[in-house]
Amino acid sequence: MTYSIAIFIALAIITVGAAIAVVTLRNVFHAALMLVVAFFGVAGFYVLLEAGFFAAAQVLVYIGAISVLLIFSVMLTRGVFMAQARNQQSGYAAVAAGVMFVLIAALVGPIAINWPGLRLGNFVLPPRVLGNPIEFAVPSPKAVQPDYLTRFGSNLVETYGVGFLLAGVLLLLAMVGAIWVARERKLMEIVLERREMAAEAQAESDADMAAGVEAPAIPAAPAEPAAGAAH
Amino acid sequence: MDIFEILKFINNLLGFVFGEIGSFVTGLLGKGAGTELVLMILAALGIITYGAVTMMALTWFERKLVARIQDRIGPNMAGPFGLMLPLADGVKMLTKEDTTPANADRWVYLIAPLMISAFAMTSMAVIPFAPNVVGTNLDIGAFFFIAIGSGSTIAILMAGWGSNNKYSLLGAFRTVAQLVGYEVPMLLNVLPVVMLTGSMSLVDIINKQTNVGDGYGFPFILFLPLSALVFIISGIAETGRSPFDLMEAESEIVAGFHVEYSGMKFALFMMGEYVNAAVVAFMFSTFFLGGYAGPIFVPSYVWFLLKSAAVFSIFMWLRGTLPRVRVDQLVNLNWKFFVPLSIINIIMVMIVTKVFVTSPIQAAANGGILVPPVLLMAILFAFGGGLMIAALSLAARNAREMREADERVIAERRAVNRAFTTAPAGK
Repeated sequence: MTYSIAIFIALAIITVGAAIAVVTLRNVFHAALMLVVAFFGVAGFYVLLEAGFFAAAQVLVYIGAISVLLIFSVMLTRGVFMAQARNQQSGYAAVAAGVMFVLIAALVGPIAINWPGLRLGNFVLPPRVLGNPIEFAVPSPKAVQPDYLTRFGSNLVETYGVGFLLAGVLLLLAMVGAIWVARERKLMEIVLERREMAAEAQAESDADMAAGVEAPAIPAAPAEPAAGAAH
Repeated sequence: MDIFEILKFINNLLGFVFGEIGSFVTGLLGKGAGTELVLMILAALGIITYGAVTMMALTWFERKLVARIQDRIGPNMAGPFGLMLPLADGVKMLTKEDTTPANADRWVYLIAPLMISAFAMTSMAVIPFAPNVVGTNLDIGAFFFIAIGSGSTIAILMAGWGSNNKYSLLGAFRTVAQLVGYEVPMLLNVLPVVMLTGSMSLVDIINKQTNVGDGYGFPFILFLPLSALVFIISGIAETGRSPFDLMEAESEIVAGFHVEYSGMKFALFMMGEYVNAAVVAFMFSTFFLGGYAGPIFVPSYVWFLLKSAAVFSIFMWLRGTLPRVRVDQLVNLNWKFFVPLSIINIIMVMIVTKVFVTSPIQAAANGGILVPPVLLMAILFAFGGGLMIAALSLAARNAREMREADERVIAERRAVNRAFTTAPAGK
C-alpha cells in the first residue's frame, strides 16, 4: 500500500463520515460545523491530486465564505437558541444526497475514468523542506509553475468565456440587488411608504367590504372591528 | 578565506544549520519517505516553536512600546527591562482555574482556541525567513496565506457560539462582518504584486524584487504604493487589532468572543491573535519590502526580522494613538472606499504593465514599449500616487459635505428650538 492510498482512505473516511454526520446530527449548528469538516476533506483531495490552487480556492470560498453564511443562517433560524434545535429533515436530506450522488456519478464517471490527473499510484511527497544551503545569492530554486493553472486560466477566458462572463453578470446583478435592498433611506420616506401601503390595504379591504355588503350571503359584521383596529 | 566567503557563511548560517540537521537526521534514519516525513514533522515543530517565541517577544515589545507612547514605563520588574514578563505571563496562565461554562456547547467551546492558533501557525509555513529557509515553497504561497486566513473566521464563530454568552455571540457577529469584508481588499491588493511577479510563490516574489535574474531590483512598495497602503490597513482590520478591534471591544461587549475563556485557552487565543498579526507583518515585508533581501549587507534573516519589526511597530503605533472606529465606519470604509479603489488600481496596473514591458521576450511576443525597470517603477508610482491622492481628496470632500450637512440640520433645529422657546416670552 502506497502513501497516497493510505492518505486517500483517511481523507475519504473523514469526508464521508463528516457528510453522514451532517445529515444525522440532531443539532443543526453541529451539522453545519461537520459540513466544514467535509469541505476540508474535499480540499485534501485536491491536494492529493496535486492541484493546490483548487484546494486553496476550496478553503477560501467554501470554508471562508459559504459555510460562514450557512452558519449565520442557521444561527438566525428560529429555535436554535433554545436547547431543542433539531434537524428534522435528515431522511429527506439523505434521499436528496443519494439522488445527487447517482446523478453526479452518471455525469462525471465516464470522464473521471480517463482523467490523467487521477493516477493515485505514483504520488510523491512534497519537495524537501530543508534545502541546499550552499548558495550565497538571494535566489532559491524557483517554484515550479504548475501547468494546470495556465490551462485553467486560458480555458476560463477562451473555451468557456461566455459562461464565465455570464457568471460574472449574475454576481454583479446579485450585488446590485443587495445594495438596492440595503440602501440608505430617510425615515420620512419609510413612513410615507408605510402610509401608502396602509392606504392601499385599506382601499382593498373597503372594496372587499363593499363587495361583501353587496353579496348578501356573507355577514360583514366580523370584518368591521378588525378594520377599525387597523386604524 | 576572504571576506566574501565569511559574509556568505554568515548570510547562509540559518539555512546551513537547518541543512546540517536535515542531513544528520537523514544519516541517522537512512534515506526514504519515512525520513522525509520525520524531517517535515521536525520542520513543523520548528515553525510552531518559532511562532510561540514570536508571540512572547511581541507581547513584551507591544507593552513596552505602547507604554512609551502613553508616557508610561511599562513592564520593568520581571528581569532586565521586564524581559521575563512573557514567561511570568505563561506561568500565571497555567496556574489559573480552567473554567468551562455550564451551558457551553462543550466540544465547540474546547476546539475553537485550538483551531485559531492552528490556522495562525499554518500560515507561517509558507513564509521565507532566509534563502532556503522556508517551510514549503508553495507555488500558490500568496493565495495560501489568504485562504488560511479566512479559516479563522469559522474558529471565532465557534468560540462565540460555543461559549453560550450573548457578548461572545455579538463579538462573533461583528468579527464575521469584519473579516469576511476585509478579505476582499486584501486579496485585491496582493493581485498587483502577483501580476508584476508572474508567480504566486513567495520566494519568486522576493526574487523579483532583487537584482538577481530577471528581477526589478526595487521593492514593490515603490511600484505599488496604493496597494501597500490598502494592504496594511486591511491587514490590521483582518487581524482585529486596534483601531479595528471591534470584535473584542472591552468597553462595549466586555471582551467579545473570548470572554468565557480562561487560563491556557485564553493564552491560545492571544497566541493566535499575535501570530496572525506577525504573519501580516511578515507578508507585508515579503510582498512590498523585498523580504529577506536588502541593499546593504546585513544577514538575510536579520533583514527580514528588521523589516517585519518595523511593520509591526506601525501596528502598535496605530494602536497607541487611534480611537476605535464605529461599526458603520468600518463597513463603509471597506465596501465603499477600499474595494472600488482596489479594483481601479488593478485595472491601472494591468494596463500599465501591458503597455510598458521590461522583458525583451515579452515585448517581441505581445508588443508594448520596452522600458527599464526604473522607468516602469516611476510610471506605476506616478499613476498609483495620483490615484491615491485623487481618492483621498474625494473622500475628504465627501466627509466635509456630510459634516456640513449635519451642521446645517443642527443649526435649523436650534433655530426652531429658539423660536419655540422665545415666542411665549415675546408675547
